[in-house]
Amino acid sequence: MPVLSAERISKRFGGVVALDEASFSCEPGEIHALLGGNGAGKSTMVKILCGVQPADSGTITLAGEPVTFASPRAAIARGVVPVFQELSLVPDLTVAENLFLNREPRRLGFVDRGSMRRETSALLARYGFPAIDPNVVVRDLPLADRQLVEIAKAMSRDPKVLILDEATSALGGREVQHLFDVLRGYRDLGKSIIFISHRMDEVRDFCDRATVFRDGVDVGTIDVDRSESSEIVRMMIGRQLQDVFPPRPARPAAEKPRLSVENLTWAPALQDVSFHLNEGEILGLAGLDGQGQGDLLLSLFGVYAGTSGVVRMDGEQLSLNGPRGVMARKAALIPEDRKTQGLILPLSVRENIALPVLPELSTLSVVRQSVENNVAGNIIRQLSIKTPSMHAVVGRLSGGNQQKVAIGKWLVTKANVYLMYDPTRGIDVGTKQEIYQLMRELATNGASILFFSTDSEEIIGLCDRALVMFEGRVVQELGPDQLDKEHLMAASLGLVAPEAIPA
Amino acid sequence: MAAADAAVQSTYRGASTRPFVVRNARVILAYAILIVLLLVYWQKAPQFTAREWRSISNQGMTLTIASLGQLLAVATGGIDLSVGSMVALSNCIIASMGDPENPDRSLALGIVAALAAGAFGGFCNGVLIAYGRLQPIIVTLASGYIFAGIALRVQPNPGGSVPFQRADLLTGLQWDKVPRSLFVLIALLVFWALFKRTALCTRIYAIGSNEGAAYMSGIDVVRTKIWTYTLTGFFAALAGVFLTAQTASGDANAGLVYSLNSIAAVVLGGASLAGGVGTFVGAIAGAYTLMLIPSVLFFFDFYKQRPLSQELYKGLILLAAVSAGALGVWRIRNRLERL
Repeated sequence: MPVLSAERISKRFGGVVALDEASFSCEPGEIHALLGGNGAGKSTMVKILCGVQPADSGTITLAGEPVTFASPRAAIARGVVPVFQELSLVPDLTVAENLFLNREPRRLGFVDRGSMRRETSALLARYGFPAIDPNVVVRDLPLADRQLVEIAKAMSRDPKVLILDEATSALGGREVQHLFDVLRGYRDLGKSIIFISHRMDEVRDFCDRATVFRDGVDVGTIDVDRSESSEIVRMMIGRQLQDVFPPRPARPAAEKPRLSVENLTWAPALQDVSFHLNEGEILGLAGLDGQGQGDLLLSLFGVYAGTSGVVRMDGEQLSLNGPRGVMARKAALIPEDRKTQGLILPLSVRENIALPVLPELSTLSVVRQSVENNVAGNIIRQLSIKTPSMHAVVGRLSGGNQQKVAIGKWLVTKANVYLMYDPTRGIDVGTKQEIYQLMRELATNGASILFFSTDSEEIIGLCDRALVMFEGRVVQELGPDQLDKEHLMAASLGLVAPEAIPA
Repeated sequence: MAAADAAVQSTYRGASTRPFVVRNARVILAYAILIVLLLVYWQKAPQFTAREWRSISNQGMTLTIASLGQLLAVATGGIDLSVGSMVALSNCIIASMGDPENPDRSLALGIVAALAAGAFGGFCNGVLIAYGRLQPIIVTLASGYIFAGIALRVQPNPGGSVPFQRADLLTGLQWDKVPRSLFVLIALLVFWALFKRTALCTRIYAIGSNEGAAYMSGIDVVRTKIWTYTLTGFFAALAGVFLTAQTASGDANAGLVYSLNSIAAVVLGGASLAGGVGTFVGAIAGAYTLMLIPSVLFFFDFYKQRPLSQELYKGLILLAAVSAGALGVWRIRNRLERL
């Protein structure tokens, strides 16, 4: 009997189907991987399993008994303990205080610090991390050690099912091997581990079985030892491209580079990133989630301090000392989260659109209303933004129309370089197509677009070229003849010939 | 055991506890400022007697007690603007309940009533903040007006009846040498040492440091916050008791300065208004620094000519200390996170 099984789980977010009657089950004494590309539904599945989100329909069975977890606390109490990539440690408390938070050993009503420290040392030693000092404040620990403490905290609750969601992302090779040895010992006690990782070699090395997800559906469960990587990749790829992308015009014989980046580094997120972005080109940034694509866009927009490397725009050096300086050189960033970074939600459509160009619209610091109205009206018409009026509050528009405003406010600046962070995430198909059209129009009119998307179809369908990133490096550049799912997925999983990786 | 701990400690690689001086830099800075002020005072004062000590010790004590309460609210990432009004209310309750016919009994009853009012007022703040999900700054601003209004009703004009000889028990000299308020300070330090070892204290700092992680670790955030503001109100009322002993009268306007001064004191002592950081030991230095600034300035001619400018110097010292503590922000490499 499986210890934990999910049957026909469905989950929608607005118009987007994240899971569509997906199922999988995990046996006792098994390490079970969940695999899939971006948006395949594996993260949603994990969140439902451990009570972070409720499912719309379907059943979860724990040791033969149907369960619903109203909160992470409820799941933990029943022995389903997650470790997430976003850490859940309290930074200003020590390692020992974090491990025993809310279940501190007491003596005479007071916290028994001595025994808390000793038990922490013993726990860390038992789990194979004896080098971590229980008295250190978590804020002072390196990221890798924090991740180990997080795992130790989860294991100290003696879970039936331990869920590791990208929990090894900050660990180096030796630490991972060591952790795997500890976890294999744990499995041999009859416990189960559900493992999600973007590193294919870890899945091969560590897991017994794997369930592959695609477009919210489980495509199949395989024995890891008896399956080829190419077979797994094929399962993850799935359906054919739909004809939703604008035609790709031929590239000019002589490319004119607009942005050239040499050895851009912001350790550890970005390592020696070099590439050219040409005039009139849409350059895709691909790879699995969180491989440094977002960090590359933010550092090019000047958000990160202490980057090294050289960035040139139109041949002249671009200093990355803040968004204002980069904006002055005619670049724009469509940020990751339109609600917190892209838009000022309580302000009107008009005010949001005018925000980047207020000085140009003003005389003696007073904004000329008529000009502001013109500018906003033009953008609303150009992008067919559906809003009751330009004075409507942006927060009340639909997600797709909000995103149009977030893009439109940069069109006003007549930027030459657009850095786009997953601009079609969470919006409906119709609006997506309008945004694709708009991007191609911008490129045809000479603008250059560096386009990060978590949807590999967009990279393939829309881009002129693509850079594949893995763990902070550009591991492969895919030209027009290589822009297909096989190349993209293989490169995203780090399955490239070693000579393709720049030294 | 300590030896064994030390032996284990030496085997840890990589991150170890940072040196004491680094970990407590803000507190050490606060004491450095305080010691400089004390040295100047000692140099300039015409004679430095036990009475001088007593007056310094008494002047800072009300603020020290109020700051202990404020520190707890600040450690959760909150703030309590009603501390000053609660000091005033406590002061007025004790003075108005005083009965010259029966001084001891009325004084004891008055103190009990004041402390109960403090705890209850703080409890109400906590309920509104924790259950009502209202912002602490606005809840306590409103409740502060309410407490101040009640204080005026209880004691419309300065006065009331407080027995001097009893007040001397807290504010006088022991063995003609040692200010008795020092014993109050020692009692508070003992309380703090014990409180730091309670689970409640860990929870308070956990919530201030990362409320989400605290919640995910099973901490009852609502109850912890209610407890916190209850304690804050209690210590504000206790500060009112000491103020009563010092002034031997009730005045609805005498306590109001302690709201902002207690915030300044805990921040001077190294607390972060973002929560999760700060100690009572630091707040003591902050409180006495704020109280000493006017006394020290009084010895300087440039100040005597414009005695109203003491607030100016308080402000400059506070800004300098806070700026020194904020230098670390330049180590953050994501400019968005520096905002």
